[in-house]
Amino acid sequence: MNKEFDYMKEITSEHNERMQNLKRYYPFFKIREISLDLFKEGKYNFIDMGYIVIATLRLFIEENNFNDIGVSFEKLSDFIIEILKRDYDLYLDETENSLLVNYIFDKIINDGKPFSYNYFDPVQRKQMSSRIKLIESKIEDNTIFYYITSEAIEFYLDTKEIKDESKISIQQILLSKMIESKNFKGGIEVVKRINNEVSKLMLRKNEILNILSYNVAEGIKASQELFTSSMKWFDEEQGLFEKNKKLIELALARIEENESHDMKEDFLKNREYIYNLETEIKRAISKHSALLNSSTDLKIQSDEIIKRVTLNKLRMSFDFKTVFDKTLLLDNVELLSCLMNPLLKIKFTKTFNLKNTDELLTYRPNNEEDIEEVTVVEETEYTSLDDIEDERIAENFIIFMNLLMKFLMQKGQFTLRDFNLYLAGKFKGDILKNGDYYSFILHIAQKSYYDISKLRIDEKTIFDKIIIDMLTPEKLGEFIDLKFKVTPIPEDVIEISSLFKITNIKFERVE
Amino acid sequence: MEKALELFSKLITGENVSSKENKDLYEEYNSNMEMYNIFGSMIEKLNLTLYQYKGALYITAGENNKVFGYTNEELRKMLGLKVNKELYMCYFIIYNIITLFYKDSSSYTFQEFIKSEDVLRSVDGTLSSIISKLDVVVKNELEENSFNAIALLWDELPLTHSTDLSVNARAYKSSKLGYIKIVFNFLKEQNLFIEVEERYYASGRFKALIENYFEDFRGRLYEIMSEGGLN
Repeated sequence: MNKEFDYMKEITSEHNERMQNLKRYYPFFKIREISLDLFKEGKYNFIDMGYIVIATLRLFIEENNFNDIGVSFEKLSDFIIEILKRDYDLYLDETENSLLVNYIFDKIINDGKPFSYNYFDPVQRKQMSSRIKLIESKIEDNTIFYYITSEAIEFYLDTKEIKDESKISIQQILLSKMIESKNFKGGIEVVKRINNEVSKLMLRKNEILNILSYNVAEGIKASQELFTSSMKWFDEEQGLFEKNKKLIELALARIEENESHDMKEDFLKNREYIYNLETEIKRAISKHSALLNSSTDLKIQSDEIIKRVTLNKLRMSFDFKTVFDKTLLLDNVELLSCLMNPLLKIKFTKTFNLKNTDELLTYRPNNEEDIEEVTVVEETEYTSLDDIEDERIAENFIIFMNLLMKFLMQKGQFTLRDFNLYLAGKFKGDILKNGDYYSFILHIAQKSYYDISKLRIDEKTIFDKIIIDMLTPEKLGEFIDLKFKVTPIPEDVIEISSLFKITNIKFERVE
Repeated sequence: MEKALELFSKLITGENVSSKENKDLYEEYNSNMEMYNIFGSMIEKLNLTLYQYKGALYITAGENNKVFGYTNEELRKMLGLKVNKELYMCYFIIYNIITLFYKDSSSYTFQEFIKSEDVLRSVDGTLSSIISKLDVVVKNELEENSFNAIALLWDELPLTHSTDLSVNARAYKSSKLGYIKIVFNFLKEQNLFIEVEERYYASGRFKALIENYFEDFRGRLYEIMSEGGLN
């Protein structure tokens, strides 16, 4: 029940956040969907808008984030025309080109409006409209320059397209942007992603060590790839870390200075975000240095493995790896058979010795089969220890019940305390040490009312069944009219011994 | 001569001849110069090779022995396989098993025993680089003896036929562990491995042949490799 409650709560409370995360994918699919069907009667609808969008975003990241300059419309136009020529063999005249590029660009910037992404917020129970832009424009020196938005960068990074370059650097650039625009909360997310990236590189390093142990050539290739694609960015990354750390410190100093100007609440919230961001980035820096150390390790280890392999090649022994590498080079697995065939047993076809034909002809099997006598053995019935115990308990129950009913007939009403004394008188004090007696009391206390005449119709417990079974016709005659109530008296506790106590019960005969 | 023939018949039928089993023949071989010579020239003519290793004699037909070696068809029958590609998969698994014990013929890794999982890891590791490039392979164009073909075969196999790993894999070619089991059953039958509770120990025969045969025939084997064919 509790669990169900939890996840229901999660569905509603987290929906908003999830939609916000999904939002950044929305423009891409929206642009893709519209495509170019409506432009000039679908003349250019073979152009994949998805591809154009992704390519354009990459251009913006290159110019805005790496070269730190805005993108002018001319630059973008040249870029798109180049793509159309190169990938679609589309050579158009200037007017047509300009019309097409304008149309495409309008779609990407959604005619200058943000894309609105509508969804239902279950917390507020309202239809929400979230807005997102891929590109935003700024006027600088009387010229319009276009810049990629941080959401668009995040979207692009999520598609994992920039494989060859350091994701860490890009994330760091994003982080700088976020700190500058005072988006500290978003910054924390970015640093967490950097941490993930570092962990991923760490894992990759271990994978490579594993490959090295199986296949040196492949391992070397993989480790070189890792070094050129990721590790070579280390210096740059460390520089960026330093820069970001300084930015955070600056932001912190600035916020302390402006303490009086800001709203108290905003100030506290922002300060908390910055502190968290600082902690995260410190963690990232230490993880990053650990990665640096371990990659140095990888270098040393791989060098060692290579040395060992080279030495082995010079030795006089037969190297299985070399053979394998050769078969791999020739791409012929069948060659491996020469490693296996020598190990096999000698092929030896079993033949029938002609001498044995004599035996075959002279072989005389018995004419008749031997008779086997069938003996009948009686089955023995075994009585298990459980059976013996069950029998004993039923017998004792019958004795107790008989006495209880007799006592009831005599007295009309009594308590368990009285009954104990009565039994102790009959069986001596030992009866109170008999386990079956207490089990009997427990069973009888399961129901509060017994009517012996109706027991057969109203059988509810195992105990009822035992009573029914014990009532032989003559006994039934004696007790048939007996009806009695069983009422526990919780306030009265009978102490049998120092370890054992039982609640008193009142037995009362009723008419 | 008689003794030499007797020894030959014992070895060729796969019986053990060592300081413990068929002791008299083993001692005769070591002490009787005449028998030693006759036996030596006999097996030489038959293109067989004999190795003495830790008090026992082992005989091998070597590679590509037309009389005492096996054809692909015979091997497929022994392993219960239908096509050559499956047989090559087994070759490949055997190669991996060898390298779990020996990096080269002179360096025994002192691995006491191996388990199916070790072989699985090794095969996965060796094929990983080939599998990672398979995205761009056109399936129908693969030759059955190409590494891509067996990598593809391996990649498409489930790890095991049952979801419960504690159930011992059956020797059945519908899963990776099943293939490994087929190979181990075969190697056991060939007296190359001894199995104790799913642990596979290399037999004396295995060690004798690996440590001697490959070293002796190193040149010949390298030559085959550089010619790129078996004939």
